[in-house]
Parts: sequence; C-alpha cells; structure tokens
Amino acid sequence: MSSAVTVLAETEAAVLTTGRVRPRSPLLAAAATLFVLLALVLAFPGLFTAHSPEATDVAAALRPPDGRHWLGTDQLGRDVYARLVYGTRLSVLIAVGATLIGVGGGALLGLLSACGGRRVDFALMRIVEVLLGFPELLLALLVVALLGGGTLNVAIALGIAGVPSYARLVRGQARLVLRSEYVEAARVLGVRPWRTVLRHVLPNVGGPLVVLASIGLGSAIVSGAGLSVLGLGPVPPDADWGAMVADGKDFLQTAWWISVFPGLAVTVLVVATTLAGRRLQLRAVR
Amino acid sequence: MRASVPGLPPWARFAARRAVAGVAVVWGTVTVTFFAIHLAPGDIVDGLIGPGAAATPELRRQIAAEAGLDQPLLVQYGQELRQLASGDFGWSYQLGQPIGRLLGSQVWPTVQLAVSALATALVLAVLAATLTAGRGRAVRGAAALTELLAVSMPSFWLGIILLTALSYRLHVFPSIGAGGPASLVLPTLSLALPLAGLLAQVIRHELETADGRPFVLTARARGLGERALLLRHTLRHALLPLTTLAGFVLGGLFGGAVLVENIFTRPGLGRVLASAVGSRDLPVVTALVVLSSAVFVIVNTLVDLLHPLIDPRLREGGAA
Amino acid sequence: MSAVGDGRPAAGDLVRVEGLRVSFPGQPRPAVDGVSLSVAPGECVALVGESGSGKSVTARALIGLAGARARVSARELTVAGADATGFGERQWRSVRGRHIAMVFQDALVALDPLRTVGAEIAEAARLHGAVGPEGTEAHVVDLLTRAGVPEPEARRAQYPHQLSGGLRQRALIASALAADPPLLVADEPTTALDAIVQAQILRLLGRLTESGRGLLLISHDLAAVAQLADRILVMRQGAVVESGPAERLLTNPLHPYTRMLLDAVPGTGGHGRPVPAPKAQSTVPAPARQARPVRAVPRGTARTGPGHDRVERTVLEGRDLTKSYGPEGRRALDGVSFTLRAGEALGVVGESGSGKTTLARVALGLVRPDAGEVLLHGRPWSAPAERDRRPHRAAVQFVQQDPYASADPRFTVARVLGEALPGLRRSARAERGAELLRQVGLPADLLSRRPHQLSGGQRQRVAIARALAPGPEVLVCDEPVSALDASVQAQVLRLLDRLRRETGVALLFITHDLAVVREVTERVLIMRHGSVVEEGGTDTILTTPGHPYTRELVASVLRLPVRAPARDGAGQGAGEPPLSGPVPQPITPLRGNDV
Repeated sequence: MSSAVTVLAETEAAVLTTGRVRPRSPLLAAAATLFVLLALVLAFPGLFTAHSPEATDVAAALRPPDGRHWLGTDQLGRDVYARLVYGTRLSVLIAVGATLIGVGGGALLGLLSACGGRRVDFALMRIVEVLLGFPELLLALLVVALLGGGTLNVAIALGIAGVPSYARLVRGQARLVLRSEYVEAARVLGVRPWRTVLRHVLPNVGGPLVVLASIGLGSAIVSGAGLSVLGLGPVPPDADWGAMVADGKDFLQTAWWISVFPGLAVTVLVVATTLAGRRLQLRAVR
Repeated sequence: MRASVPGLPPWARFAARRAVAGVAVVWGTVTVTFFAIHLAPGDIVDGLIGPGAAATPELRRQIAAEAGLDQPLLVQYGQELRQLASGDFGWSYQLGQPIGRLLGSQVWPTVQLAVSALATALVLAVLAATLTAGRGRAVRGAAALTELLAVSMPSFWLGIILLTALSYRLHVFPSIGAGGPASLVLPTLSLALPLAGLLAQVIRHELETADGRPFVLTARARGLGERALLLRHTLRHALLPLTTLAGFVLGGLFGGAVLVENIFTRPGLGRVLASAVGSRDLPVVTALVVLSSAVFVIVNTLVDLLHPLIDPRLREGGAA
Repeated sequence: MSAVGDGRPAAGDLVRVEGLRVSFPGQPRPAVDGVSLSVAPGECVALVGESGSGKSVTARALIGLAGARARVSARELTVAGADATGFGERQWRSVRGRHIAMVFQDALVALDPLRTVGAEIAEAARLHGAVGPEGTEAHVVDLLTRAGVPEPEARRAQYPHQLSGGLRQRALIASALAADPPLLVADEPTTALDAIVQAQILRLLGRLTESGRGLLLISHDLAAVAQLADRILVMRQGAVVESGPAERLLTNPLHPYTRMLLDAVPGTGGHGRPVPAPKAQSTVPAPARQARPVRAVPRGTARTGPGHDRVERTVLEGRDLTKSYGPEGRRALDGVSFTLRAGEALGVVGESGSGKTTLARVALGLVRPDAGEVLLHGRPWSAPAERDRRPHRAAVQFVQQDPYASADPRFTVARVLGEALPGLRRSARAERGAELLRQVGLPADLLSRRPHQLSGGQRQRVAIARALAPGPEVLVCDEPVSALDASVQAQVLRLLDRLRRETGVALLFITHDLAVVREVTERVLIMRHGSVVEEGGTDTILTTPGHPYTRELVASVLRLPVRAPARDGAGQGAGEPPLSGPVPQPITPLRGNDV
C-alpha cells in the first residue's frame, strides 16, 4: 500500500549490499578472531581476569589505567576491565535475545501474512504498519515503560521493537518466492500449498533473514546499551556495557576511562557483527 | 486514465489517499498504546502514586476514580481519543503539570538539535559519497571503513569521547546545557556522524549502481563528462532511496536525541521521555509516543508525495 | 586476419580498427581477441554473434567505453581520421556523440527515465555545440521528426515510459543523431521490440545509411541484420570467424558456425529448403535412440500409443474466455475460444499485450477466467476449486519462458525432477530422473547439479523434462525459446517437436514469433488486444493471411535472402514510401475466432 514502505525494503537491501567486504580481507580475519575471543569470554570470563567485577576497594577508586588495573577503576574501586569482561554476558544476552524475539515474531507474522490469504495479510500488515509508525527506540521505550526495566524486559522490548522490520522483510521475500516461476511450476505439478511453503518458501526466506538478523544484532547491541545508559537496563550490581557507560557518565571530567572503554567495546563488537553480516550476505548473493 | 473520482487529478487522489492512511496509522498508534498500557501487567494506580509510597485501598480507589480508571475500558478509550483529538494530552503523574505545556517548553531544543544534526549529516554524506564513488580501491576502502566505524559508533559513546577530548581536556566547547550555538556543536556531531555514515553508504551505493545502468552508458556515449553526469543524472536517481530513508533518519534522530540530551544534560523532549519512562509516567510516555509517530507519519507521507515529483514513473495513478 | 583486408580504400573510413583486443582482469580469456573492422560512409557493417561473443564490448571499445577495468589494445584504431590509440578521456569525449553515436537496446532504460526525451535529446545536441540555447527546441523537434516520431512537439515533453516501445526507440535514435555524427553504432537496437515495430525501426536505420551515414549494426539476429548490412562479421568467443559481403555470407557461408547460425534462424527449418544436420551441435549429446518414450498415459484414460484414430479427440478446450485485470478493467482476454486435440500442436501468436500469456495461465488453471470456461476431456477444468483440480494437474503441464527462474535456485536437478515424481522411492526417483534427462538429450550426471551450473539451453531442457515427468497430455509452452540464443533455440524447438511425436503430448505453444510457430505447430491462433483475429493451419496463415493484422504480422517476419532470392523483395519497405508517420492504424479486429 505505502510506496514508501516498499521502496524502503529495497533501500534496506541496497544498504545491505553496500561496502562489499573482500572474502579474505584482514578486517574479516580480525572479526573472526574477535568472535572466537568473544565465545571464550562468554564461556570462561574467569580466564581473562583475576579481578572480581564486584569487589570494591574505596582506597583504589578512580585510578587511571595501570599495570594492575588495565583499564583503571571506577568510583567504588572496582576493576573496569573485570567488569567489562563479566558485563559481556549481559550485553550479548540482551542483543541475542532481542534479535531472536524479533526474528521469531517477524518470521511468524511475515509468513502468516504472505501465505494466509488476502484478509489475514491485510489485517496483519495494518498492524505492522502501525508498529512501523513508531521509531524503533521509542517502541522499545514504551515497552520498558510498561514492563519496567531489567535485563529480560530490555531484551523483550528491543525484540518487539524489531518485529515489524523483520515481518516486512519476511513477507516481502515470501511473496517474491510465492510469485516465482518455480513455485508456479510446483503448483502446476499439483504440489500442495503447505509443501510449497515448507520446501520453497522457508528455505529461500531463511537466507536473507539470517543476513538481516546478523546486521540487526549490531543495532540491538547499540540500542540495548542505549537503554542501559538511560538506567533502564540490568539492575545493579549487574552491569552490561551500557550500564557501565552510565556509571562513569558523572566522572568524565576526572575518570574518562570508566565510560570510554565499555563504549569502545560496544563499537568494536558492532563493527565485527556488521562485517560478519556482510560476509554472510555476500555468500547469500552468490 | 479513467478517474474514479471525477474532477480530481491523480496526484490529488493519491495525496488524499496517503493523508487518510496517515491519519489511520496515528489512530492505530493511539489505540495500540492505549490498550498496551491498560492491559499490561501491573496496576496503573501504582504509577500514579509513585514508587515507594504505600496507599490504603480506599485511597487507591479514590485515585483511580479521579483518573477515570474505574470506567469501562472502552469508555476510557473513547475519552482518550476525544481528548487527543482536541489537542489535550492530559496531566503528568509525576510532574503534576499539563503535558501540553511541558512538551511545548521542551520541544524547541530538541528540534534545534535534530535539524542541525540532519543538515550536518546530509552535507557530510553527500560530500563523502560524491568524492569517493567510483574511485580507486584505496580511496573506496578507506571511505567504506570510515563509514563502517561511523555507523557502528553509538551516539552516546561518540558524545562521551567528544566531551572528554574537546570539552574537558581542550576546553574548546562548553560541556553541558543549551547556552547558545557553541553548546550545540558537540551534541550535533554526536548525533550526525553515525547518520552521515549510513547516508554516505546509501548514496555511494546508488551512485555506483547507477554507473552500470544503460542510461548512464548512453549519456557517456553522447560525450557527457563525469561531473555533468553526476549533476544531471545520477544524483537525482540517488535522491529516491535517500528520501525513503527519511523515516529511518527521523527515528534515529529522535532515538539518538534521547541519549545525547542525557549525556550532554541538554533540555529537550528526549530527556523528558527518558525520565518519564524511568518513573513510569505513562501519560507523558503516551503523549510523546503519539506525537512522534504523528511526526513520523507526516514526514513519510510527505516523502510519498515527493516521490512522484522526482520520479515521473510514479506519477500516473500514484503508487498502488 | 580476414576482416579488413578486402581491398577497400582505407582513407575515407569513419572508424577503423585492427587487431582489437579487450580483456578483463579475472577472466580466463579476452572478451575480444584480434578483431579488425572498418566502416565507410554510407555503409552498413553488421557484427553478429550470440551472447558472450564479445560484439558489444567491441562496439564500446570503439568509443573508449569498454569499462574502467578493461584492458584495450589494438594495432590500429582510427576514429574520425585521428589515431585514437593514445586518446585520453577528454579526446574520447569530443568523439563520442559527435563522430560516433551509440544506440542501445531498450530505450526504456537507455534514456534517463527521470528526464523527458526532449531533455535528453537537447543535452546531446548542446553538448557538442550543434545548437545554441535558442535553437534547441526547434532542433529537438526536427530530430524527432526525422526519426519518424509523430507529434514531436508533444512527445518532446514526455518521459520514456510514456512512449510506446517503437516511439521511444525512435527518440533514442533522435538523441544519437543530435550532433549529426557521421557514424552510428546500434547495439541490438530492435531486440526489445515487437516484430512489426522492429521492421519499422530497421527501415529507419536503413534510411540513415542512404543519406551517407555509416552504420555499425550489432545483433544476435542474422535475419534482422540481413535487411540492412552491406558487410557482415560473425563473431564467436571474442574472435571474428567469418566476414564478407552480406550477399555472399548469407547465401554461401563458408564457416560451419555461420552455417549453424543461419540454420538456427527460425523459419528456415523444414519449410524453405532442406535443413542440413547441424554440424556444430553443442556439447549436449544427441538423445540415445533406445531412449524409452515417456509414459504419457494419464490415469484413467486408455491410450494405445500414437495413432491416427486419436487425432480428432479434443483434450483441452476453451470457451469464450474473458479476463480483465486491474481497476481499469483492461481486458486481457475478450471472448477467446480454442480447441486442442490430442497430440496436436496449436500455436498462439501475438505481440506483447495481446493476452496470449493470460490465455496460457487460464489454460493451466492458474488464473480463473471472469467468464467462459476451460474443459479438460469435456469436464470442467477452470471452474473447480484448486483442491479438486490438483489430482488432475498431471495432465496439463507447463514450460515457462525464463529457464533461469523456473527452478528453485537451491534445488539440484534431481530435486527439481523429484518434485514432479511424487510417491517414488529414492532410487526409483533417481532412475526415472536420469531417464527423463536422457529423453530431453541431457546426460544423467547433471542430476547432481544446481540450476546456476547449467547453461540456458540445459536449464530449459530440465524444465521440459520436469513437465514431462507426470506424463501429461497437454504441454503449455509460454515463449519457451525466447530467452535462448538462436542456435539453442533451434535445438529446443526440435526437441519439443520430437517429444510431441514420440509421446503424443499436445502442445499449446505461445509465442510472439511467427517464424518459431512455423517450426513446431500445425494450427495457429493469431491474437490481438485479447481477441483471436484469425485461426487456421499454420502454412495457410503464413502464406495467405486473411486478416489485415495478420498480413502485417506476416510481412514483418524477417527473411533471409536464401529463401527470398531477390534481397530487395525480402527487405520490406524498399518500395514503400519512407516511414515517417505513426504506426499504421490497424483495422478493427475481427471478433471471435472466425477463420
């Protein structure tokens, strides 16, 4: 119905195809290394730091980075590096949870819309259109306002906020496949509709969905951190990277390292996910 | 072309259809927000009382009655619609003042920030894209890397870096508040750079795909130079996807403003929203959500109306 | 090197290239390898080849537009009397449009879709100072008039998408003529057009050479080129395999590849002169003789092999079919009836927008007609719900136009065929798949390939195998060869013809190409604007067309001189007044299907 929406989908595709990454680029190798490291950090945070993320030491508060505290200490004397290592779990959990919720909900809505007949499509797409009428972060904020903050609620909020874009992608792709000549050929052969969906639509929608999800993961990391910066994320003493940025916000003048390093971690992780997403996409295009 | 409504030119019918659809979306937003708030787990009265305060059941009932919460849901819904239609956003639970006035006093700094960030981002993006599109591998690689970094950087982190470096260390710009143009520079940059990265990617992609199109080949074959080609042909084609991004951009600007205003302790709607979400001041959240979705819809509708002006192929009968 | 050395004086040549070589990094072999050619004023030189032969790259190299990554070298490259081997971008720009102008395939995309055709033409004119700002308007109108565009004043302000295919191609030609270049390079200038319009555009190009302009015509279509060319160069895999005067090359081809291309021109097989067995077959081996015919017996019908007694039995019948699309209610079908008898081949011919594809989809039960119905063996076929039609779908199968889109890109050939063979065990399915592939002339080891690993012709054969798998009685073919190269086209047409005779499957053959229809069908329907204007035996209609529209259509079929001894007689329009008016207004089409 809205031409802006359809062109938008194309633009998204265009954005996705920009900035080709060469298969063997050093950046990509760095990203791959980073993911291995990340997996290790997630599984065994204790391997990476001897400090406890929660041990306070008021005497050692607001120390700049040195040999003992690699990334300095915060206002309570907690080791910033240790908190960063242990905060990884929460940050990744929120982003992955949000993406899974968004992809799952979006795939369900999109497929129902594409395959469920004209009336179902009309109703669902009006809902999606209304949801698209909210800026994504605003939708997340609304959900947080309703459910309250916290790790789980932030993931749910970001997930719900992502549903409409995934739904639109899945619907668009599914309709493309359904209109394709090979689905027409299947119909002429007398293949039943549910079989067509299972054999042709799902596999052909899955590829682009994974690509978009891998890129959506990056924006979920940023948005999750953003909500935490606003103090809506994990409840202290738990802290994801965003919450650490918020912690250090008031000490920027004297102790920049409290906020800057967690923010750097967010940026690096987003760059790595984006690169990986583009790699996936390059493979999908081939 | 057979006109279904006699006397109306196609573009007018198209515009009318878009306007109706836009109103419907805003109405849908109100509806979704309303029912989400009223059907969500948790008692709205808690929000009215405020965190930490205890209240007797009688007091709760009294508060609920004052807020009209004892009415059937549909009656409340009708009331809400009537109020909103007359421009009345209700009262803030926490601040105890009419929301209309609250927003009115805060809207200007946010608009200022958003407009300056948008303008900065556009200028940077167009410059970066036109200067690097179709260049050698090194130039394009560097541009792509810069764009990737810019897009990936959260605006709040960028803000912190800028604050630390330029404000606290070098004292070039003031750190906080809304005092004059100088205080606008850093928040604008924090908001504009990630956006510029995204827009530059899109424009460059458009310019480079246009490069392979037959009409570009034709134009080159008639002897047109690269600069004239860019100005007369390809840039105009890049305008189409760029305008469709307006909705995204707007959402990004507002979402970013929430964070940037917080980092820089600037007044504005973003800070109002953040504190309202924190304290579950639902009428304020509702008002801001509805307001921003209305702006969102208006901008998207304008873009839809603008498209046929750029692309004549969309003119006949409007896009279906 | 055979090309230039034909003893003509080189001095007056508009362009002259010797030993042109164009390569792209990452490509195993050069795209163009040692091509030499020249064009003199008033001369039409044609460069003919199939896709990938390097003909377009050659043309672009002549104006320095082979692409940023292309490595171009030549022993000699003379453009407008100057040595162009050392040209920089600035010098090339002064040549482009001024000395050599290009006309590309599809004006819908070759002209900037966001600008009016007038603006495009004006840009070309002003660029080389052909006119000043004041004279531009009159100049544009004049150019459009010369290109045969009616009402040039009004057309000038229109956008490419608002013009018909023929008109916008004329506008594109007008823009190429804007700076009055002595040489025109036309790259597949008529490929995107309907037959009648194609003939008109070719005539227009022909008139341009008569006025002393040189024309380098690039095409995959020998028949189209035969109308205009003085000399022809045949290209294959980047090299010229044969070149010479058009008359000689068309009537007495020396190279087997040229002979193969000539034989592949639709309409030459079986009807004109005896077709020699193609010498340059593709790598696909001929089908083994002992290949068993497909079991074409549908459930519940007794059929005892091909025999004359069945010929009269009607399999598929359409009665008074009507179908409208869109809010405007455009009639794609307007009271169309047809009957398809068992084992028969019925052609449906029409230009784009004639409703022929809608007819195919209605016949397949993919689109429900607004009125009228389709009967299969006299029983309702289009009326029942899909659920009730599904069990009988095996009887009516489909070969689609685009072999690149007709198979799920994720599927292997085995799975593509497997989808058409439900209820078979894995091993039986593989065996049956291999058998089907043999039947369409493909080796069984293709079973493990995916579509993108196959050539266009192989894919189309796979699609045909898939359609044959359920043992259909009717095969609906919608433009099954129009996406294929000419040589492959001929092979696929022969395959369809052979399969029909072997299996007794009836063909409903939909095409825009009268020449193709003559290869495979016995009877033909001519469609126009959603109605059948004429119906009858293919030969009868092609030799003595009754309806004026059919006559025009038949006249637009491009013939090779071999079958029409006098070249002037074949190149239509030699005796006609120069075409400068609009497309001839057709007489009101007949309704129904009177013969």
